[in-house]
Amino acid sequence: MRRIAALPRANWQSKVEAAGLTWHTPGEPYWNESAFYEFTAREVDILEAAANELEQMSLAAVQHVIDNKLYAQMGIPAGAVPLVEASWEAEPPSLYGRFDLAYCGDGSPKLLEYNADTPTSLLEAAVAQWYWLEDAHPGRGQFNSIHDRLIALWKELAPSLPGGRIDFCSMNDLEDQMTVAYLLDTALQAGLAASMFPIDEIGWDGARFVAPDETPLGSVFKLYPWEWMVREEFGAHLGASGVIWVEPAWKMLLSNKGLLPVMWKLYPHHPNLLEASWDAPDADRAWVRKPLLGREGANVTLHRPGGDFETAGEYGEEGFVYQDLAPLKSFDGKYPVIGSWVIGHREGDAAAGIGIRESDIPITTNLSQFVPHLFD
Amino acid sequence: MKKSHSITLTVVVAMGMAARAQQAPPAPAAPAATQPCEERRKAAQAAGTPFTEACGHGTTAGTTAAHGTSRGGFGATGQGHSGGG
Repeated sequence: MRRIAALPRANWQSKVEAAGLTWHTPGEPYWNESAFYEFTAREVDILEAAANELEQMSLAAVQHVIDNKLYAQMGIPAGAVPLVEASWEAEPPSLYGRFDLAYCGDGSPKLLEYNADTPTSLLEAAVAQWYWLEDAHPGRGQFNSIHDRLIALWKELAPSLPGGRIDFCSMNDLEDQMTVAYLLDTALQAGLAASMFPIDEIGWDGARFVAPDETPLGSVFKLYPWEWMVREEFGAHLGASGVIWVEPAWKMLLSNKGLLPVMWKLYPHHPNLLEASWDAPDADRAWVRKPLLGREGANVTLHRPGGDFETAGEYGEEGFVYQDLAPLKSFDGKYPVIGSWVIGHREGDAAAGIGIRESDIPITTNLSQFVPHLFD
Repeated sequence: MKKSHSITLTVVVAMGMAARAQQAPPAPAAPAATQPCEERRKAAQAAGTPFTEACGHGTTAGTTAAHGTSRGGFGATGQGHSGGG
């Protein structure tokens, strides 16, 4: 694994915009093609195998949480428990997730966290870096079959979606809207009927959730976290609505940092895990404290003997978990994190590609930059 | 398989064009009746993409329309934030 400096393509801004990445420079550039990461085929195989194994371990951890009713410990409100358990039993359609992995080419990738409810950086990983590869390094390889896998999965899921239709919702936020537009695009290419609208335009007619045109909703993809939905005004209707939500409610367990100590308990010393606990380790160790429901690196405390570093934010009221400090390696002063995408849950065949975000600090935040990759 | 094949997008391209148009300097004397929702509808129509928003109903959080449908019951927590992560 190497970080290689490169000349950006002429008019790279227009090129990534043509791929839908219209939020490439929100102040400081978010998309950065003045460098790329190069992997060996063996390193890609290692990353692929790690994601496949972690996916199965994560599903086992969900089963453990449900069997042992660890909801309160994970900050899951009591009202959401029936939604979680019913969706786990019914196995409704489920699409994707992104493992964030610490990896530097040596040793095993280590799981930092998993977002399988509302993961983003999808369009960048699936499309923008693919177009970059075709433009800048034609003939080279990229660990990226995300686009094809999404279309293939929608085709598999189609019989489970009433009327062969799914509607897409998000906040009225450019990145969210474009991410959802991309997923809608893949659904249309799979032959589904679809539309999209802001999530606050979902209606409740007293018995059903309805679209802005009053049409009853059957299946809805929502880029909006379950932990927010269940606490909002319409959260009380979720159980009775009959809507198939993608992602399903049990996914809120996968996107909860409480998953980390559960996985460590089930798979202690697994090479792809960092030791994690509910209680603070000794102060003479190096560890990271993460809010159970934290997002985008907010309210993370990085503890080393002799000093702490903490990011700002508004999370933590729900509690924290502790995780051993990952051995992140700096490449040219940058700390990369591998976003490893899984599409579907098929055992041994979930891993679909990677996207890399790098930061000046060893915590990935909303200021991190997306950097493309290739391999031989 | 570790590679995608050709990627063709239609909705994303149309949305991207609409977003860039909104980022461009404002055109002079935009019609007062043209609201963002209506612009989105027109952009979708021009691109041949699906659009089901009911423009002009004046969405307000927690409101109930005359026909009995309440809206705005999702999205309050996310105001000013991204729902993704």
